[in-house]
Amino acid sequence: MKNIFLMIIVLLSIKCSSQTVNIKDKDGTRTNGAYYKDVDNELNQFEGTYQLITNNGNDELTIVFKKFTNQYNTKFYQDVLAGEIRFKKNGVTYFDNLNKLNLNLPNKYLHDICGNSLIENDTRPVCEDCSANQFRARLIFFGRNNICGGYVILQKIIENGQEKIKASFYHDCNEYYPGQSENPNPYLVAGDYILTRIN
Amino acid sequence: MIYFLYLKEYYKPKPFFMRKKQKQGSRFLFGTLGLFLIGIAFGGCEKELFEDSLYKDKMTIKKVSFEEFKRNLKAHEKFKTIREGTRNDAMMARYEYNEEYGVYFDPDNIKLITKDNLKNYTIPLLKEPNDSLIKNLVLSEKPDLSYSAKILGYKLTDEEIELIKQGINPNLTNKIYEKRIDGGSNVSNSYSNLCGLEINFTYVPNYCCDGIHYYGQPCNYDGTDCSPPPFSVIIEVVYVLCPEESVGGPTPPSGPVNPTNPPTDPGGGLGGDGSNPDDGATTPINNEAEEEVITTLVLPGLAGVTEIEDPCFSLKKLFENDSISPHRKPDIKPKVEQLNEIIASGLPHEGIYSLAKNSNGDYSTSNLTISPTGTSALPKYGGDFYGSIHSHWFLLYPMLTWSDVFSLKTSYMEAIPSNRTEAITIMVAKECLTCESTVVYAIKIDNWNTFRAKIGNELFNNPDTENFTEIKDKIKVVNDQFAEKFRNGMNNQELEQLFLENFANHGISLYKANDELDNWSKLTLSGNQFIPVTKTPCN
Repeated sequence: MKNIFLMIIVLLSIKCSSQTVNIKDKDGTRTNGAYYKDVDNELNQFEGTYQLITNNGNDELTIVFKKFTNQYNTKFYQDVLAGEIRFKKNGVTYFDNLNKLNLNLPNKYLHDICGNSLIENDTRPVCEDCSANQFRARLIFFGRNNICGGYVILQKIIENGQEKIKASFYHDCNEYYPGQSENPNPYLVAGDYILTRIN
Repeated sequence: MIYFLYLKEYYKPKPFFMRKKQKQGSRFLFGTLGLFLIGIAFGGCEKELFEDSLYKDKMTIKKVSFEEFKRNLKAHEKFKTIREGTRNDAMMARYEYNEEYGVYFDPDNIKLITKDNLKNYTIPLLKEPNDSLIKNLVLSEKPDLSYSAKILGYKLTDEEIELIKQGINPNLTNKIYEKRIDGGSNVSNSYSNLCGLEINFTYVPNYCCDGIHYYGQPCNYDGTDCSPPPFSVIIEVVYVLCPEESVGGPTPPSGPVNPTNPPTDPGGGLGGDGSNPDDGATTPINNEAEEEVITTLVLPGLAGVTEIEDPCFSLKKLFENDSISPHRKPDIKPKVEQLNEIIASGLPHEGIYSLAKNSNGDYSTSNLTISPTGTSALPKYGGDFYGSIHSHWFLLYPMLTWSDVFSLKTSYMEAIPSNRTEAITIMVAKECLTCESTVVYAIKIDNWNTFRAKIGNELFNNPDTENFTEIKDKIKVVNDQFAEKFRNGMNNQELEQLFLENFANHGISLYKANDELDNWSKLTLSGNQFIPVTKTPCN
């Protein structure tokens, strides 16, 4: 009887210590041992390979996204959406990291795009053309090969039955480090890009 | 030449009385009490033994003022013999140039390490832009109470220097060079790499910036009188008998250096200026066992805690103008109005002015820079620049971001010491999406060490940045997590509250300009849930 009672207490302790937080409710804090979970599978809508080709094929932006679940980072667990980019301009490929998404990186934030923030329509920048209850994803864009990064906001669009995303890049080069140019000139410039799902 | 470079490692055993005892029940009360008392007794013994072992070497480290250093007459006399610098006006504003000593040095960051009652001073020297080494003059007391002098040079990348500034010690293996300046047969004219056969480094976790800190003892960091981890490594260089080998040689031009190509002095600064006939001479290092050298890596101009004037005083000054001598006052009001126009245009740009004050006390601002579409504006840092005023695109976050706070830290760190008290980041944004009016916020540093600790803690204790090699990537992660706090429909007061909840009591304060742009109010948390922020006008 005593042992059963002890076991119940142990099980209850384990249960209490593993807390699940919906990533929609993240508030900038992190609790050790908690699981920041994409409870409503909102990140799934962005998975896949998306592409924008212009300038007679000389300009290309291709982004591949993949969701990783239950990633442990030594303090807490989380679901994240990671992405990698191929960028070509005027026929010159500046970076092509699409295959890196298949690498088994210990920290998914080592991918060039990563995050798990979901933002509502009226969160700045306000989304005028989002449907009701539609969530966008705000992910960190590290821009490691792009001179400058920042973040990217993804909005899913269905146009004539075709899956697309609007990727809005915002650059924040305000992280001074010695030797940094005062006028960074990124290859992939900030702005909105509509990409079509190809895979 | 063979060197062994190692670090002493100390472990602090957990005293018995610190270990938790679980109560078994009242019937075990006396037994538990007995065990507890025995624990205290044994714990006390263990602590004593540990301290004996710890103090055997009697190694302590502390920062000393230049005045205190000068009171050590023998060390000071030795210092006066050092003539390693040539006058360079460009460096005058940032570092101490002492004609008597003929050397540029940072008098605010002298470290004293004492071991076995022998003193070892580490004095950071200047680093010129084209100098490939961070240089520390090391004065080591010998058993006969005289002092030996060496310059240790650290070949660090910009990224590694930035890491040190953030409180992280980089791996120093194969990055330490030495130059002997002791005179006589021990003089060398270039730096040789201390690439010993066996190099072990151990980093000591805590180091107090004020007072004495014994290794192995906890540094009870409370955010006020101690600094976080920087400079937590003591380097002991032990010289042993080694094959005779020549070092030095003619001084080639400075340039990229690797361990197989030892760095040399650039023309000025610490190097010879060509006027000395010994410049470029090859002098073999004495092939004898020498005393050990104990030092710690110190970056010049880093840890100095500048006396910070009342933030209200420097803030109010920003709005002052002088029609006769316009450069005598900052007069930022027209700049704020210009930024208001950029915000009103609705275009997705940020505008920025960088603020500067030269050595004559004349204020100036940079030209207006408008960022590319969807891109944040970048301030200028270093030299005379001490801060910036920038606008936020009205569709984005209408409050200071985490990277704006980091920008304040950078402005402080990169500014010349005399300008640090004025370090500031000012942000102008629309009060609300549909408002015509704008708000002007400013952040100022109250306590540099507390502020630096806050930034370092958020940057380096974030598990999402594990395995990151670049500071800018870490900043993005922390910035993103700070942005999570922003909720839909937050008004300005809620945004102020959000900012203060994260940064109040962490060494910076938040101010808001009045509508007339002639005064500021300090914003603090009130503790009242209905009016969460208190505004206290600057007198």
